[in-house]
Amino acid sequence: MKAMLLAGLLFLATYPALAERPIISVSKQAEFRAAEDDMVIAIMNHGYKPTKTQPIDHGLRAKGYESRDYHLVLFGNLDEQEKAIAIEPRIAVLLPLKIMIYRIEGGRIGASIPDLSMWKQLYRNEQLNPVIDKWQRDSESILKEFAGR
Amino acid sequence: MFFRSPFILLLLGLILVAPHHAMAAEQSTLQPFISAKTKKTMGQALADLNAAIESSNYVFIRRQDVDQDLAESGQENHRIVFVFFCNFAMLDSALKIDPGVGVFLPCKITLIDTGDEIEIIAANPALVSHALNEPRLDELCDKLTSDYRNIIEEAAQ
Repeated sequence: MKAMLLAGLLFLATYPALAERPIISVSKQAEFRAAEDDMVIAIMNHGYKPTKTQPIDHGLRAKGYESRDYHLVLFGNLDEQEKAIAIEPRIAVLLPLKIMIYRIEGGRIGASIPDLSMWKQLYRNEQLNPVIDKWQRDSESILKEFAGR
Repeated sequence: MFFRSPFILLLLGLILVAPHHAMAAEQSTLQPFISAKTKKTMGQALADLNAAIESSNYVFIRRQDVDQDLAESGQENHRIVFVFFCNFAMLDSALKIDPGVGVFLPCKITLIDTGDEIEIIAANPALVSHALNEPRLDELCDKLTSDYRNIIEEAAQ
C-alpha cells in the first residue's frame, strides 16, 4: 500500500518537469529597436559575438503576410564552437546560437531561446554535454541581463 | 479525506502524467536528425541542394560557413556550410499557432565535409512539435520533416 502511494507521489512530483516547454522566455517594457540593442550588448557582455540579425518580420511582410516585429539574433563564440566541432561535427546542426526578439501585446518586448538541454539526449556524447550546458547557461544569463534581472 | 486514499492519489498521478510519458517515449523514438551522404564535391552538393529546395517550393535565403562573421575574413571553415531557406506561408501559419516556434527558425540544412564524403543533415522538425506539445503544429512539422527528407535525398542523389 505504501509503495503504491509512493509511486503515485513520484509520478505527481515528476509531472511539472515533463510538462515544461522547451523554450525559455523573458519580457520587458521597451522600444523594439532599443531592446534589440540591449540584447546585442548582453550577448557581447557574455563573451559572444552577435553575427547577424535576421528580420523574420520583413520577409513575411514582403510576401504580403501581416507580422508583429520579429527578429532573430544569431551569435557565437569561435573558440568554443571550434572545440565542439572537433568533438562532434554534427553539433553544427545546433549552430548558430540564437535568440528571438518579438513584440508582444501591451508594448512589451519578448525574448526567447530554445532549451538546448534536450539535445544532450539526442547527441548521446558525454564530451558535448559541458559545451551544451555552458551555451544553455550563458543564453539564460543573457536573457536575464536583457530583462534587467 | 478524498486525497487520503492512496488509490486516488495513484490514479490522479497516472492520469496527469501518462500523456507526457507517452510524449516523451514518442520523442525518444523519433530520429533526431534527417541525413544523407554523398560523394559529390561541396560545390556540387550545394548547387543540388539549392535546386532541391526550390523544386520543393521553398525560397533559398542564404548560405554561410559555420564560422562566418566569427572567424577572420578569409580564414572561414568551408567544410561546414549552412543553407537557410523558407516557405513563408508555412512560416506564417506556424507563428500564428505558436509564436514560440520562432526560436527553431529558420529552416536550415547543414553540409559537413567529412573528408571523403559530404553529409547533408538537418534537425528533424517533428521533434519541435513533439517537444512543444502543440498538436496544431504536428501536421505542419510532419510536412516539414517529409520535405526535409525529400530535399536532402534529392541533393544527395
